[in-house]
Amino acid sequence: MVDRLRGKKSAGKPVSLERRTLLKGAAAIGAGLLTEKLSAPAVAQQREYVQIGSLSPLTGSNAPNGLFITQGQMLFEEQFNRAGGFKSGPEKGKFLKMIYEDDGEGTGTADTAISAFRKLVQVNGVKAVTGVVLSSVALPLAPIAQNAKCAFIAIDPTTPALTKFPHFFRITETSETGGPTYAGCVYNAGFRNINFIWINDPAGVGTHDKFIPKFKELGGNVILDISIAVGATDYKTEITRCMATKADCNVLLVHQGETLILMKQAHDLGYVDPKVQWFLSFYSEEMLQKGGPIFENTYAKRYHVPTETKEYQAFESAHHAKFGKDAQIAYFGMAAYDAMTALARAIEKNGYDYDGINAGLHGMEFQGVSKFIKFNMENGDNITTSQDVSQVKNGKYVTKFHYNPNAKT
Amino acid sequence: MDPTTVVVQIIINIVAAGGAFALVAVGYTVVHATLKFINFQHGYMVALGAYLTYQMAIVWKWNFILSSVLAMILVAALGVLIEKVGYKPLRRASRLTPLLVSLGFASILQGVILVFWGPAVQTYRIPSTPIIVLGAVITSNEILMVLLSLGSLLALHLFLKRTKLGIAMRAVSDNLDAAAIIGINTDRVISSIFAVASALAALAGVLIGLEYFIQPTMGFPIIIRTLAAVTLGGIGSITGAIIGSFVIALVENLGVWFLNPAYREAYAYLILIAALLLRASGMLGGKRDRAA
Repeated sequence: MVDRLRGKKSAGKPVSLERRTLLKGAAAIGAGLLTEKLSAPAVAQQREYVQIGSLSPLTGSNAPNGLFITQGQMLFEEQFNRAGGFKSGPEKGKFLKMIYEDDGEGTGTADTAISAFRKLVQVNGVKAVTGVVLSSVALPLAPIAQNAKCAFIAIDPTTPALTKFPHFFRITETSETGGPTYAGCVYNAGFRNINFIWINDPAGVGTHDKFIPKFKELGGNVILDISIAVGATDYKTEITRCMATKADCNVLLVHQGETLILMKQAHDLGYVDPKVQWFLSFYSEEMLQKGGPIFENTYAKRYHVPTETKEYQAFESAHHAKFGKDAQIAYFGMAAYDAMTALARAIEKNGYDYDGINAGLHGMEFQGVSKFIKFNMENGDNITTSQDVSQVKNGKYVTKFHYNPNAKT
Repeated sequence: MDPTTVVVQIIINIVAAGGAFALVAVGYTVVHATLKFINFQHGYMVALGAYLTYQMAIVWKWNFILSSVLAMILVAALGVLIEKVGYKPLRRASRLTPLLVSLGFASILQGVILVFWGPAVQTYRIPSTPIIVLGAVITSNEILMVLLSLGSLLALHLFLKRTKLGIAMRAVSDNLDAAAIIGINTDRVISSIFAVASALAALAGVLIGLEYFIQPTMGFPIIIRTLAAVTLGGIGSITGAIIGSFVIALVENLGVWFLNPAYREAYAYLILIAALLLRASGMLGGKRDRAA
């Protein structure tokens, strides 16, 4: 190498290259490198991002719902950035970046969620967070988010106790309307004498307190009204108590993990159709697959999704393209997508700060994927939704009827 | 449902619930009596046994009995490894140190389960045949659970009473230093104790998976309940651990029947506190009956 620099051509005397030639060559190489760097494509340049935190159950009994939420958020992030990010307003030219954290729902405490939230705000510096399914997690988070001046749109906590936090928004309805809606679904399915089994957490308490009087008002009879512990592995004696009554239906208001155990043990005890019917408060293909025959002939209600809208159809196409045609399109994924839509709109209009986002969200309304979204002007509540009541036949949900509690959908 | 049927059904529920947890409690109390610390990781050995069996029998579709036995062997081996790496160096440390280490191992095991099997609840989906007894229902899985639990506990009892290793385990559990003085290889015996306890935990995990569901976070509630049963029965007493497990199951189920089911765990702990106030060493705790 040195010899070549010295211009050694043969075994004869070495020839020194002119110094000027050397310097010219070095300058040419340097200029070439600089040109290459300057002409790099725009995507390689540093993008500016608006970071949004995601808090959802990535572990625990609610993890399946956490997966759907994450899918909805990922889908929105990808579409939004592909379309060019924020096109107007104070954040014009910026893109979205989600930061995902596990809120550990289903463990019975909100400790994991609170730690994760603090990390998102204090370490990652986010000013908006979305996610969270359970009221038992949302309730302790609400004042923390308020104090931290971090905007929050939750997916599914229903407890009316959250209404007093005016800037804590949620996609789902509260149990103020959810409880009576559930009662209407059960009554309209033809059941008059029921046992009501509910989970002892804030959402369960809220919905229970509205379900029972509404069901009685409609003319139904609640024979047994019992709450169960979160996260227990054995409910046989609770089921035995139900077996000792003459109810025609056991109505459940519990989470997925508890539903699986209850239904399995009821099935083992032979306490299923035709002896008695079971009515579940939610609908899950994944749970159906796991449980198999234990869910045969059970009833379930789910939020009515307006599949005829262009918003839903576009979401469905994009979801299939990204996650495959076999991937379940669940309510939580759609609701998470709608929460991201709402946040993005608020940020685009008023900028990425607490007051701006809240101002943008209050009174916002748009046709979402999961339903028509309309946030209250004074608080973060959303309007109620109609329900589809289905029954499991040969391992598949078959819609029996649509129940509309007279709210706009 | 007539009253006789209700009573029989509740008895069946109690026996089934107590059976599997007795296995966990016995394994736990043997370790605790020997090394004198709260072993939080024991609950996750139960979970690991359940998940390994799930992987082999359900995912890979191997023979269920073979899978269960393999799971017990693997978890036993892991128990020995953990003892060698985590607890042996701490034998002379204060009790707090191995307790903290056990918490660390518990977190690691939960993390391993999450990484390999994910967060969702899993089921063995092995059908169970209902058998009617005086109008009440007992399932074939419950019968299996009770028979296996009692059989294992009887086998353990005979092992501890009649074999050289079993007698050595009892001696080490009673007094580690004295056992070493009389020539017992305490390291080997302690490893054996961990192997036996871990194998029992894995078997309990299989039975819990058969009758209930398994999830990554199942270890912690199991260990808390085990602690209650062992404390009630008397630390170090195998008989006490068995009785404590059934007493906890009895109190929980009676509380569910007569009171609010939402507080089922609280009833057991209330009884535990009351019992300890009356007799601090537990029902059968005391100098005698160490690992016997």
